[in-house]
Amino acid sequence: MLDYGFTLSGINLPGGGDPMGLWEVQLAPALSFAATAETAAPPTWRVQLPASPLEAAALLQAQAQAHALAWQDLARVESELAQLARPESISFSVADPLAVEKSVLLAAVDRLPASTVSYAILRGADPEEQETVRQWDAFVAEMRRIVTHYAHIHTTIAGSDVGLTNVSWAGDFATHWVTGVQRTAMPLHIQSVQMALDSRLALLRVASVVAAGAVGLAVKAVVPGAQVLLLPAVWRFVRDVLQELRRSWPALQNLAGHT
Amino acid sequence: MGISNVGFDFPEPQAEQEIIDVFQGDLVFNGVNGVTGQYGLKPMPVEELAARIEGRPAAEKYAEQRALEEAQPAFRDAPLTLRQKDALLENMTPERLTALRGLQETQATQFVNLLGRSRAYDQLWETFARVYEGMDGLWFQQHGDRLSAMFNEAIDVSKQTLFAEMDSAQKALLETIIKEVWDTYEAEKRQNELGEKTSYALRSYPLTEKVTDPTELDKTGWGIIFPAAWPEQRQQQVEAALNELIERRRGQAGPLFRIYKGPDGYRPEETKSRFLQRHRVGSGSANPREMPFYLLLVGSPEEIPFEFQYQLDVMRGVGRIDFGDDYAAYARYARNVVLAETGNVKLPRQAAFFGTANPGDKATQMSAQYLIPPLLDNLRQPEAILGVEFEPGWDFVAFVGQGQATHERLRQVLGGDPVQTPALLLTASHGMEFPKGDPKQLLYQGALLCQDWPGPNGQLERRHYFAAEDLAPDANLLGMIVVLFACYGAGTPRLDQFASPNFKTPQPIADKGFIAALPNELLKRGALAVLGHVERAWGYSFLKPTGDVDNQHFISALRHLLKGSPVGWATDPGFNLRYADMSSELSVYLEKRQQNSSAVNDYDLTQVWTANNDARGYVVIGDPAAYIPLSKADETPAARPDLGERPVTPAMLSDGQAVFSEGGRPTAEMVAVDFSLRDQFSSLTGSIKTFTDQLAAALGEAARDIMTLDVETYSTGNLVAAAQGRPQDAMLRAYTHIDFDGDMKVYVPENLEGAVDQDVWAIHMETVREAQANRAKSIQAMAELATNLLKNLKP
Repeated sequence: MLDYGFTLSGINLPGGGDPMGLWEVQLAPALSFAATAETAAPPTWRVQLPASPLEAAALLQAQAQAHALAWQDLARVESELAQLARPESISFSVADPLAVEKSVLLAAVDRLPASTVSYAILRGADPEEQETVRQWDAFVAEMRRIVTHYAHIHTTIAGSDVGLTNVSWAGDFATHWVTGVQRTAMPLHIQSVQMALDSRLALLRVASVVAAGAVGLAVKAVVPGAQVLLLPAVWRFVRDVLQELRRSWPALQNLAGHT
Repeated sequence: MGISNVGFDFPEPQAEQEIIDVFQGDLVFNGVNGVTGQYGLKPMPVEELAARIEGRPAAEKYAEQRALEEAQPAFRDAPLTLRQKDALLENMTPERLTALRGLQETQATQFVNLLGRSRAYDQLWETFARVYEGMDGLWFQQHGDRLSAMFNEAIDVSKQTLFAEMDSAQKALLETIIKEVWDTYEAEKRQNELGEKTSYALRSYPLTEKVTDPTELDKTGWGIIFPAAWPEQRQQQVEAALNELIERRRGQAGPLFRIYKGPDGYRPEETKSRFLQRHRVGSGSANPREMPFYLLLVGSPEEIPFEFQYQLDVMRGVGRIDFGDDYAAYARYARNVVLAETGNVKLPRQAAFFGTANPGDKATQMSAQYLIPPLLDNLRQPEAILGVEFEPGWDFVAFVGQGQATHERLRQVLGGDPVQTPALLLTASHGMEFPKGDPKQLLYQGALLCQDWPGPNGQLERRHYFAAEDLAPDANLLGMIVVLFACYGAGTPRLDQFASPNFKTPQPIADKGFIAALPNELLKRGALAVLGHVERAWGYSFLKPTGDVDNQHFISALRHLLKGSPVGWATDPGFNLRYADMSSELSVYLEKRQQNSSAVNDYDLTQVWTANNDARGYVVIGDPAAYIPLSKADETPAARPDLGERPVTPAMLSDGQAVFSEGGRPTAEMVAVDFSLRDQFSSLTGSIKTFTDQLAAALGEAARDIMTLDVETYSTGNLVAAAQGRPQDAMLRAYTHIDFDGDMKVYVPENLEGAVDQDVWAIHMETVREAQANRAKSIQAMAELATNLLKNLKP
């Protein structure tokens, strides 16, 4: 078990965890039947830093670089979706690193019924498609929790608590420092807070890109309601493309245990 | 301000006995038949009516019950309520008795199990709800649908097993008995809820939390219910036509806005309790977070039964609109409600009362004497009565009786003369009635029979009654609310609710249930709502069986309307609570009678039963959240703006094809609804809709909270506790409060020497900067996401 890393708990992001690849998602145990959304654990971003200040600083810097790359990738995804939504026919070569993901997405668009009102095709009959829809549903449900719950950002150094910041969805901050915390550790927690909130914004942005992408592609579907029916497929595209793009990240990824 | 009592001399108050005599001799307040010119149901002594309703004498029933229990121990020990057993035996014909006695033991057991189906279903749902209470609402509904399907399948299998060795006659008989018992169980549940309603009267009634301003839809909620069976295209078309109203209500109600459509909508033959169960709504006072208080039904009584409207209306403010395929009418109505509420309509405080007193007709003599004058006397007092106070300065005019309540007068008051067209109108008259199948029924049933009718001894002519087509071509009723006291004034159900010998096999009185043409036309001409009666209206509407005046519900409703309350609020607690009260009383009578047939006589029971059915028949046609747009105290009332025409374009598909053919009817290519496919579409839409609602709520709260930003810095020995709230040992070290205009309150940290702790201060300020940056970005991200999601939801 790593003694350092960036983990996100209290949020069950489906399909491989954090689509931006920045946090390791710790899946919550199955809720008891008595658990409700209110009693489930709130979203908590945990930053576990090594004891060495130099290593801790380096880790945080690597994570910051990863954040920057992830945002660039998201912008790229958005651009690709806009391209795909263009009314002219799309062609891409097999050399295109995103050829597979694009094909899958366009095939999902094509599969939507062409007749005016018939939803006669049983959508979701394909197990993989069913799974995609389920994951999209789960993603939306978790995004709702992110929006409506506090964010907790918790920092430890060598397993010892440093600080915990609670951020309300209205943006008020309440930071608790452990009594006797090293003064030099405090800025590290502030950086943790910055990264966690940046990731929270990134998740919102992912959802936004998916929603806009589905609307854009709907014009190709010629079916009422396509902008809704395409949401799972677009979400899958965004998730898969971000994952593909991460393959070209430099070696910094190993430090933070990114997938 | 003044009250003009024109043309009718109110007699001196009569002695109590005289009132009772008048009342008893003319028990009904019937419609007048447009074909025969006579009463639809002749006035009759109460004993005769009781005999028609009660059917078989009570004594026989109980003798047969004893015989059955002796013959079949299974029934004696059956887990049925007293009411269910009574329902089982109430119509005990020799054939039924023979059939039940002929059952073998296993068959009897199966039969009894099936009788308890409704109760078992409810218990299963309760268990299901406890097990799945953590699940998302949509998933719950989907699982609930599967649960229902499995349960019904099990019932079908049980029935097949029971009926395996029976002939068709026996099968049919047992099926009928089972259905009667199930229906009785549902009726019991209704009675219990109605009894509960009366106990809520003095609390935060009618909602779970007190609401001081019933026009604040973000406190009361607002929802719209469509028939689940509507084809997608029709759904989209009507929704598009109502879009202006829907969007306004969405903005007003915020997170308490709901659309029930597709699988979420009203399903065929669904009872109110099943509908609430499916949506995880508890019984009792309305909790807007579970289901809005104001609910607008869209559809005909064949698609969403009157029965459903009555029951849902008990605890909520419910209204209905049904313009059929007239999409322009839907759009026009939506536009008119929005116009009225957005400052474009400023009506003067004028209310008119129109009451006939036809010669030789006791019914209208009663209403002219005992309904309208007491109302006027009460409304003359704007100070608080029944807890309702309204702005003074109202001008009341009464057109009652000979020479006043004429057809021509009504035409003027209903938009024919803008000067005479009030903000609020109440009419009291007979309503017209036509036989089933008569082509005039849809056009004229419920039309208002005016003073022009010479009474039962004269000849009825078309010009005597006021129908939809009699409105002036340019009648503008924008902002008006109308109260119609007349038989069939609001509508007609398909089956007769009265005068059926055993009340178990009601006869059809119409080919299909329908909303009366007149209220529909009033809405098309700008009226915001009509409060009227479905089926026959009775004298019990304003007189107790004892002969005392009973008009508190009218007073309460009218006072609320004059105050500017929404019509769905105005009918609560008056009309709805009255129905609940009467139903409770009725259930007590019925139970007493079951226990001891001589404890309650036919006369008393019939009166209470009739009064109960009369009370429930009052419905709102229109948006229950609509209210009269009165000019404010410092405003000058204005003439009603022109209604104008609002063209409705058919929904266009993305390939440019119009959805509908000529005449606005669905084309033959439309595919029938498939719930499983629509489920998926609705599931996706529902989840992002919920997400959007929550985003909107969060943004709304953020918009309020954006005025301040709080940043706190603590020290503590217990971070685990800090994650859950405020640990007891937490010491506030620094605090910054920033107002929107930049004013800042700062509490700086001190070290042990009493000097500023610079390190903590520096970290705290770093946190403040981060908080400021994060808030702006977070709100921007949420707003962008909400905008994009709304585009997904746009049809």
